[in-house]
Amino acid sequence: MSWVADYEYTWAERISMRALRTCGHIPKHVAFVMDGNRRFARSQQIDKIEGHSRGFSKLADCLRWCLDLGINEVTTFAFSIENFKRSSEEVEGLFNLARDKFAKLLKETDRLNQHGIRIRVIGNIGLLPLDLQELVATAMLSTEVNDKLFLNVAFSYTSRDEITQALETVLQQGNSFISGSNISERLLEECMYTRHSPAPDLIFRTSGETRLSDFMMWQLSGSVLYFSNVLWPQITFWNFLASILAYQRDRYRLEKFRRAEQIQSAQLARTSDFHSERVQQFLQSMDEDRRKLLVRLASSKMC
Amino acid sequence: MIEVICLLLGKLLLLLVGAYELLRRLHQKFHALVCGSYDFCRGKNARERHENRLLADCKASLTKMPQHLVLIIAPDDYYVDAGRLNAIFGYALAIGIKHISVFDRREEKHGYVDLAPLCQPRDDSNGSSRSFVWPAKLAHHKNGHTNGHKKNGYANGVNGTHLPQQLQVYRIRPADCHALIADVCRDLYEIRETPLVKGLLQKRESLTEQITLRLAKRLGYDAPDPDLGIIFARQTCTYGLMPWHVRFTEFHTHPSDRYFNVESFTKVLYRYSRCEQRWGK
Repeated sequence: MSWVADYEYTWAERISMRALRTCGHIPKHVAFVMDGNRRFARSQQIDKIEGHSRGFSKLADCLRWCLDLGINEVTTFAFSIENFKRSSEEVEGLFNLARDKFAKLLKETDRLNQHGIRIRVIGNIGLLPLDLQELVATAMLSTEVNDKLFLNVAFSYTSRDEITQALETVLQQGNSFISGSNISERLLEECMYTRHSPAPDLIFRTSGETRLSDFMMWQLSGSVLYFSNVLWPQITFWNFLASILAYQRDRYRLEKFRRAEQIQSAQLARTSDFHSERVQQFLQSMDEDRRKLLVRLASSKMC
Repeated sequence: MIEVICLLLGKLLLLLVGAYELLRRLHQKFHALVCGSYDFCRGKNARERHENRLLADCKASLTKMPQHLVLIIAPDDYYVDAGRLNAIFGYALAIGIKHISVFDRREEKHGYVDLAPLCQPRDDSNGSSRSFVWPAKLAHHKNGHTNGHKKNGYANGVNGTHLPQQLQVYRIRPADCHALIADVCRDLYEIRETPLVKGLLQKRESLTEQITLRLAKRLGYDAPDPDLGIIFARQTCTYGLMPWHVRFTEFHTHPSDRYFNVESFTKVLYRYSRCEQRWGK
């Protein structure tokens, strides 16, 4: 299967993975910033798009490792809105790669369903070419009933755009449901693209950069950030395991902070009447609108 | 059988990691003790001369300089106190950084540092207690002293270049992070029927710009987004720091047990200088 690799573990890898799984806490949600594809391509003297393609193969390996380790949600930063600034040749190359991968995904939907993998594309998909929007929407709809592994692909995404979109939703659709006093960070959190996902426990960025590049800025308040010097296409199982070990080491120190944040969020939900029927109706109507949009985008494909 | 072996291996691995962490902490504490004692023994003047020399070398070799540095202090950090902050402000001013923000997540009884006694409220702060200038009072330029710091022969700044006389210091509270965006949303929601908001909803970029403007207005100061962040903690985490503003900030973690001095500061600046910011391109 192209989206989840048939990775062959060595005995040492298999034992190490089981050892980590048995003795430590496994993160529920891991987010990857897959950086370094172009630098890898330069170092190997291959085409940029080939570098991106190798990066995708590594993502398939990574998904296999996550699935086998028991991580049930993975988010990857595939394409930033800022990446539209790249040369049209490279952007088109990336879109072609995405077209190819989503088309393959649709062909292997049965296997995805068998593994219980749900694909969600988060981002401003309205900025993508129409045929790609169609493919993305179809992929999301055809795996929407799965619930074993959630793969969120951040495509045409930036956090600023996501936060702006959340405010836009409240301003446009909140009219008949909510009042000013219902608006809090708790409500905005539910208007993000990641509404149905827990906050990431671990953010893993490759290629030695130590910035977040506008990725999940709203959601990562209590996440362990792990930066590695390895380029994404060169990431190995041991790099991945090192990040899990780092998470297991650091999570205890963040536990108190995260608990305090949860308590504060619950208090905020109470004071802003978040659980009221009106607010819940607003969120439900937002979900319905988002789904309708997907159905509309996918309609020609589904027929 | 395999399960038992894995369990034992896992326990052994955790034990090794724990032992390594303990040894590392002990080493860092010992290192901090040695460095602290050395700084104490060599005297203030010698230390300042050394600091100025290092800062001058650093400034001369940096290819880019952060405009806005943010210090993130973890809730369980016990190392950063008023003296340490004063020293960092001094290094930043000497090297030419214009803005510093302090995001101290500790509670008052657990080491939280109030900036008011260290700095002077800005004239335009309108009593908001968020923006300050440092040092509080400008010292007279006499005998090679500038801003209360000896410059060791450098007339103005560490490299003979013109540097700001005072550093702009901002206090970031948890309420200035996610909650501030919710406040802006509430403000816009109250005027949702006006042509302004209706116009903003036509184009997302306009709404983004409006959010940026309103956040700046609510913060009460006009500073560029932080380009460099130093996290004082034993793990790397942003602790919810301003999600709108730190999207391209380079983060560097300084473990709580390690001594922070001018060498540590310049090391962070060198690393920052080496980073290539591609802005999506």
